[in-house]
Parts: sequence; structure tokens; C-alpha cells
Amino acid sequence: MQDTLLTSRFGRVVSWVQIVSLITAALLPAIIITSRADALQVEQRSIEISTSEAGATADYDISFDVPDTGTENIGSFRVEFCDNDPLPGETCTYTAVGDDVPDLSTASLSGSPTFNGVAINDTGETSESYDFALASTTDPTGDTTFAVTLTGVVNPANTTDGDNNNTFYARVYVYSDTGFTTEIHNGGVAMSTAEQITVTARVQERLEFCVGDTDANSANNCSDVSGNDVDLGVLTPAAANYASVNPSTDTQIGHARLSTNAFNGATIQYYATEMQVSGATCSGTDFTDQCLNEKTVSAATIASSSSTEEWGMAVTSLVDDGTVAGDELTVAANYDNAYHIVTAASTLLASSTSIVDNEQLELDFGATAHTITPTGIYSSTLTFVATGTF
Amino acid sequence: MQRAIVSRLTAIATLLSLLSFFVLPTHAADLTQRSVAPASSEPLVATEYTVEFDLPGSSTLGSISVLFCGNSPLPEEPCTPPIGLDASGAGLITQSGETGFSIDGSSTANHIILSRTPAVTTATTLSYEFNNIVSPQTANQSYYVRLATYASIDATGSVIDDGSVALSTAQQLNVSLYVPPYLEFCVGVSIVGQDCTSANGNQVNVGALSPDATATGFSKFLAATNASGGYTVQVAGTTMASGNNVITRLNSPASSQPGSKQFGINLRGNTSPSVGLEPSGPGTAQPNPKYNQLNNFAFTSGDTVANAPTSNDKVTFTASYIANVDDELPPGRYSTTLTYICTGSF
Repeated sequence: MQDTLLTSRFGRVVSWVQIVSLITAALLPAIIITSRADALQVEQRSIEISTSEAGATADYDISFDVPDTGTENIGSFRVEFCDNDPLPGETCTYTAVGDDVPDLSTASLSGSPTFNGVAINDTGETSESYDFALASTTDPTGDTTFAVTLTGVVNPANTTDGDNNNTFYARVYVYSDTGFTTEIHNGGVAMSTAEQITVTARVQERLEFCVGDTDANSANNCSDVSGNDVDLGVLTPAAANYASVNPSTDTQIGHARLSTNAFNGATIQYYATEMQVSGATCSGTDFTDQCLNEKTVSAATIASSSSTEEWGMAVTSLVDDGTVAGDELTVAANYDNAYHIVTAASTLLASSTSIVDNEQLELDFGATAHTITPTGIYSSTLTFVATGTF
Repeated sequence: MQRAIVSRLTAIATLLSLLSFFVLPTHAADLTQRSVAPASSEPLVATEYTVEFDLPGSSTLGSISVLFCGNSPLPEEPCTPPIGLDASGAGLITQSGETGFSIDGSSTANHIILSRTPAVTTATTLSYEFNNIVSPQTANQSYYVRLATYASIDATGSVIDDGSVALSTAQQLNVSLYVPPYLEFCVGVSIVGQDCTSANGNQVNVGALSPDATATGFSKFLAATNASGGYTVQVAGTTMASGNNVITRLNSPASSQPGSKQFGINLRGNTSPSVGLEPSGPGTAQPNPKYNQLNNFAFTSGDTVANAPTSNDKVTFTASYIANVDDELPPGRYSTTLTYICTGSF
């Protein structure tokens, strides 16, 4: 009987314990869930960094919406940067500030932001975190956006792991007081530095140069420059013939076109052989040696005199077919709308100090014969050389 | 034992890899102010080429590569030799900046390798002139030269610095003209300023003939030619006559003798009688000796009165005429027509 009683009382106790345990077990999740529900996640959270370059100084635009839960005050905010995860409340780990989490030591709050009309103060950084305290607590009547910009943040340099494509995290905490004591909301944000892409291109050296007696003007390049004979026609004393005024059925003049990306400039030089009858031996300024004398003194015209014998070349115009405004080539003064010729040596005709964007020298030739200039077919070959300095 | 060998090899390999990291350049720098200037742009002609460039910094220099390509200046592209270009006979004729180079035997038709004992560079601007390089065969066409410097003596191994240039052949321009055979000749009573366009008149009136005085007159002619054999001026005609009455011509030069029948000419500025002018003008032609005697006159039809042995500039001659008569010459109008003929010998 005693055993039965004991057994019966003990059984009741056990039964009650079991009931309480079951009830507790049943309610515990609800208690826990209720507790977690108090620390609501901030929404629309983001941290936009102005550059993802590792080690670069950047602006961090921090933004999130603080939910309105009724009568809760909002007093301060904290942003904590971690390398391990974005989970608020978890232990924040990193190798070193500035290595795998941003260096906030040179950061500062930009402008004078407010939250629900209350000034947000820059409370400064503490190693991996940055604090913002409101001037006073405030109780928003609805979800309110917290938005600030931190300038002078130095991105993680990723020195330790050597990988610039490095993810790091920020944890956002909202406190109901201005002293960062009572956490009421939080959230996590993931960011990453990124490898910069270096795009390289090489513009190859280019120099297009052509000489001809005909420019078909069908294309503003060398493709329509052709021919190589300029005929000055039949010379008679006391009259000068010019290629440009069609002294014969040949209406051609000379064209020398240059286009180059030689950054340090280019030159066009020429070398002319004597204007002579084939096989003649030229002798100075003699009129009877079957060689026309050179026009040694530059002048706007070829002399029209039966007592003069000379020939020369002039650059009568510079055609700019390029897209770069203005002429890059400068014609040597002796040839700039003036007739002159040198047969003794290679001579500068035009030059530039930079690239030459598709320009063409129009070359005129003129000659006059002395009364006693021997009859014959006279010719000179001019070789033009363009040299770019790259 | 094997573990020890493996360990040592690993250590050596590690050391070598570290050394290569520090010693071998990872990227060649650009040669600056680089240019290649051919003396002539004429296709397929052997000419001189001057190669110039600046070194970006000091380095050990043992060889320089000068590679001619027809397709591209980019060193990473395969090089297609320009058609016709031939540098196999090139010679290094001048060098400045870094010197001591000679053309390496491994050079080819489109690749010149300059080689020397490697030495640290001290110069900035380097210049090398080559001769006997045959330019590409097509006119008005771009081609390229790739330049590179090496520490090695044969342009092998890592490039220290490099850079390319573009250049172009060009069509030569032939300027031609024709100087035709030229002979300028005019006759007149007056010619001013060695200018045939001013020639005027063809009547010479010697006035009234008298046994007491010599009748005189003159005309002019101008001649010039580019005939290499010069020119001759002949006179053709008859002596002065009036019907069957003639004034005897002077067959050979003689002085004027009033009272004798004489007709003659010369090309001088005479004093007795005072008639005529000396030849004038830039040319050097002279009267024929028969008509070049002061105060002596003669006339034979067909005679050469003036000549130039070579091409000759303008000379204006004054032909002086004298006529003397005796007492027996019948009155009348005496005249003659003289024709001057200039012939060039081209």
C-alpha cells in the first residue's frame, strides 16, 4: 500500500514534470522566435563603393531602411566590416584592417545627413567598425531610410591572400539609444573588391607616302595618285613654262601625299638630278652645256627672259584631306609658293613636328630657256623621301 | 638518398625561378625617337639607310636587330619580308652613340643583326648607317622596320628595348621639257634694244651720188641661235644699178675712193666715211673678216658677212653701205635689193 502510494505520488510528480516539459518544449521555439522577431532586419540595405580597386581610397554610400515597429526609439547605428560573414552577432574575423577589411582610419562622414530629421553625427571608427549617433533619439512613424556617405575609406588591399577578387562583409546594427547599447535591428551586406581589367591596344606604326603626277580625287589617299611624268612642254626664250598652266598636252603637276602617325614628326626631302639632255656634262651656270641651270634664289616666278636659263619647283598649295584641323606640314620657305631647286644634295621640302594627317603637297615646276640653250629633250628625276620619327 | 637529391633539385629550381624573376625583364621598353631614313625612296635600287633611335635607359647591349617586314611593324606578328628588299649585301658605314658593332654573319636578306661584345650602354642616341640595301620593288608602298636591342651578341634571348618604324617607297617624278632648235633673225633699218620685234624699215636711201663725196647708208640685222654649230649670215644681191648702168662692186676690201665707181659694205663703225656701228649685243658673233675691216668695204653676192661658230646670243650688226661714182656714170635711179640669209648649224 505504502509502495503503491509512493508509486502513485511519484508517478504524479513525474507526470507533472512530463507535462511541464512538454509544454515548455512546445513553447520554447515560440519564445525564441518571438525574441528574434524583436531584432528586425533592416531592409533595402546596400553599401555602394565608388571603386572596387584593391587598396584604393573610395567613398562608401551606406543605405538601409529602418523598419518602424511602433514606439521604438532610434538612437545610433554601427557598420562593422568583417571578412568571415555578414551575420550580425557572429564573431567578426579578419586578418588585418586594410588587408581584408577596409581601413576606416582616414574615413569621414560626408555632408550633414539626417535620419527622420535628426542630425547624424560622425562618431568615428573603432578598428573595423564605424559608428553614427543621432543627435537625439527619434521615433519614426514609418520605415525610414538611413543614408550616409563615408569618404576616405581605403579598400582592402588583399595583401595576405593576393587575390583582388575578394569578398568582404558589412554588418549593420541599429540601436534604440545614442550610446550603441540596445540593439534593435540589424542586417548584413556583402561587398567585394575586384581585379581591375587592363585593356591594352597597340597602334602600329604607319606611314603612307606616295608621289605621282595625277590625283584622280576619287579617294583622299594614295590609292588614286598615279603617274610620274610632268611635261613642261616646249621652251622658247623669253618665256617661262609652268606645269600648272598646261604648257603641253600634259596637264599634270606633281603630287606628294603623306599620312603618318609618327608622333615625333616627319620630313619630306627630295633629291633632284640635273635637268639635262641625256648624257650631257653639266658645267656650272653655263648656258650651252645642255643642262638647265638651277633656280638658286627662291622667287615667286621663273624668270621670263631670253638671257636667263633656269628651272625650279614650288609647293603651290598644301591640301589637307585629314580630319585633324589645320596643316601639320610646314613647307620649307624656299618652296612655299616660290620656285627653287637644288640638285647637289638631298633637301628638305616640308616637315612636321607631330603626326601628319593625310596632307598633300601640290608641286609645280617651271623653266625658262636662254637664247642659246641647246636644243634637246631635258629631263630631271626627282626622288622624294618621307621619314617619320616614331 | 633520393629524398636528398629531390630536395636539392627543388631548392635549385626555386632559386632559379626567383633569379629569373629579378633578372629577366618582363616587358621590353620602347625605343624612342626612332627613325629609319633611306637615302632614296626609289624602288629596287641599292641605297643607304640610316637607323636612329634613343635608348630609354642604360642596359647591357650586345646586339641590335634591324628587321625589315612588309606586312606589319608589330613584333608579335610573323614577319613577311618586303618583296625585292635585299640587305644581304649591306655594309655598316657609320655608327655613333654605342659603337663597336659589326654585321653579324647570321644576318639575312631582310634581317640585319649588329653585334659587339656586350657592354653597358652610356649613350642615349644611337645611329647606324648602312649602304647597299636594295629597297622593295613596289613604288608608293609602305614597309616596316622592327628594331630591338639585346644583351646577347646575336639578337637572341630577351629583348631589352624595341620599337618599329614605318617607311615607304615612292614613285619618282620625271620632269621633262623640250628646247627646240631656235634661231632668231631679223633685218631692218632700225632695231632697238636687241629686240627683233622693234625691227623696222627696209629702204636705205644713200642720197644723191656724186664724184666728190661718198654716199652712205646703213641697215641692221640681228641674229641669235641655240644651234650648237652656230650660224652664218650671208648677203645676196647685186651691186647698185640703174638699168644697164652699174656701180662697180668692190670685190675685195678697199677704202672709199670718191670719184671712182665703188659699191661695198662692211659691218663696222667706220670713220672714213663716218658710217655704221660696231656690232653690239651679248653674243659673240663677229663679222666675216672680209667685212670686218674698218673703213674698208667690199661686196660679193653670196658672201658670208657674219658668223658665230657656236650657239650665240643676240648680236645686232650694222651693215654700212658706200657708193662712189665717177664723172661718166649716167644719171638715173640706182638701186639694189640685198637679201640677208641666216643659217643655223644645229
